[in-house]
Amino acid sequence: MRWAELMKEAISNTLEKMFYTLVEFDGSDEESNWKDKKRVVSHIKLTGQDSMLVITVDLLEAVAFQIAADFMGVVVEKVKQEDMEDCLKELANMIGGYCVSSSKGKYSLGLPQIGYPSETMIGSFCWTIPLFILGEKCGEVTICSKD
Amino acid sequence: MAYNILIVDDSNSMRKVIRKVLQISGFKVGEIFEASNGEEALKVLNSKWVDIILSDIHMPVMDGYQFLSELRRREEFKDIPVVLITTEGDENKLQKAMSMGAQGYIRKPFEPDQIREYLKGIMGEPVYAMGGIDEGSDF
Amino acid sequence: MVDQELSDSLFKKFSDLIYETAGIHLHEGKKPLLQARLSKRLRATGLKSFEEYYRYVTSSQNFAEFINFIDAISTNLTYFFREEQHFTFLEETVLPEIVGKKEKKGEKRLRMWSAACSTGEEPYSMAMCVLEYLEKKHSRYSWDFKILATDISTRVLRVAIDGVYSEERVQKVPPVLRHKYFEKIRQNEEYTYRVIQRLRDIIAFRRLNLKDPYPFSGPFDVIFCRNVMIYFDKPTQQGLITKMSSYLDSGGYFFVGHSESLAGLKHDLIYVRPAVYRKR
Repeated sequence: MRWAELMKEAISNTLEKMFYTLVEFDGSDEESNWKDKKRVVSHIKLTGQDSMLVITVDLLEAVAFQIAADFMGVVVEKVKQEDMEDCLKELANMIGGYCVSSSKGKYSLGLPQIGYPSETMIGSFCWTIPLFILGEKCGEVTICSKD
Repeated sequence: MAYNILIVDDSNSMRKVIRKVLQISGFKVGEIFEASNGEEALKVLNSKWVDIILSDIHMPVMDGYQFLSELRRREEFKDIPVVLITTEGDENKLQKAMSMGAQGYIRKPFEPDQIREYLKGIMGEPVYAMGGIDEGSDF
Repeated sequence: MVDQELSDSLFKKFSDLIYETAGIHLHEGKKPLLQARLSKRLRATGLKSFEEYYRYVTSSQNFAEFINFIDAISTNLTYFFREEQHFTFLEETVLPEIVGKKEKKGEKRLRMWSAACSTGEEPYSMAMCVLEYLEKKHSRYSWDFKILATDISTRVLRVAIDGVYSEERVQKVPPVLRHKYFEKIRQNEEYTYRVIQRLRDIIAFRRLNLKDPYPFSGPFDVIFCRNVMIYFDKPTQQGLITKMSSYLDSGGYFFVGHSESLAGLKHDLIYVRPAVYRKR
């Protein structure tokens, strides 16, 4: 479970430092609602010598717009779709950078992309970390490792 | 003197954040230029006077390493200080970038204070001038 | 480490502090949230108990830590023309006096300082007030008028520097001024209001901890230092009032928040009316 702890640290550090957003990792279990709402996804690949990690960030669209606004210091009404996607990629990027640093350079960072990773990249070992804001589920980060 | 600064990052919102941090820090900033990769940055450098470059490493088209080596190859650009602002977490790679002529690096996510403190070393203590254009202070 | 339980009385103390600082109400239901956040800050700061953390953040030396904590909860809430009486007094008394005096002396320099400007509503309100006054006076004098707007939080300054506000935030701006000093921008289905360039050009937003040395020389004709002193203990307040008032021109005005006063502090300012002081 080392990765899960590391990811939590990476997520909350990044969100707090640059996006002025506090998330919790536990909260209400009623997720059905969450799945039905509009969401946005970004991912980043970390390639190692003989393995690969993929980090996927899946957020409620409304939350993604809000963190983009907080990141850029603008009112949320002013955030364009492309800004929001750009911020979501940066979020994945910074979480990825954290993992590279913690793995002591075992992996190298790719470029973040919008959307889910393609099927073949999904590895056999995945951990999903749910994210909550004020007790309500707002998204999740999944890390998959593949040999 | 006022410093002209070039921000190189493929993320538009990250460029905006760095620009704002520079503005509210009170440094004597002249013009701030933006480029989304090394190639675009070289185009800016060909037409504008730039005193300091703040550059990302991971970028499409021309990344930070290629950009650094291109800069050092060019007589007219090789003395411009380059500070990397990057998500790169691999210490070896950061050292490699330093050996290629980067003056230093700031890791993302950063606290705005880190940028401010770092740039004090290059740009001196901030002065609270409007737009930072003139020598003196407006206040 | 086992997370400690946050007592009801301490929760009340923290939520009062957060309300005073940021205008955010944390009701009872938010206790687990606050507790989780505080536990995290305890680990980060190495402090042992919530009690100790409360003492730590309320001591003036560690205000920055509390700002980080507050910043993470929400952007400071403020609004245009907050404590409206101040702006009326500025227009009816302060400006005629200062502007008249300067015109007689042939001076053009007019400087104001918004010392804790948050997301920019205060300095923009000051700027609108002064421009309106100068315009009504039909003075053909070309004033060199500027406002320095500072805050300790980079987060709020990033909002302030853009000068873009939601419809809700500009509600308090009188319609005449809203039409004159804001551009309405339509994006998707929503409207935002952007302060016009002419107003933004008057103001320099800069990050400043009021306890650090000031990288400017003054003097200012007017200083707004509203709802700032309440966060500091007496010795710090004393230091700040001595330092800040030395940046005030003689005859210049010093505004504090309506719930504040400089009672009990030594200073060379003359009491004018509640929350307003003037330098000899």
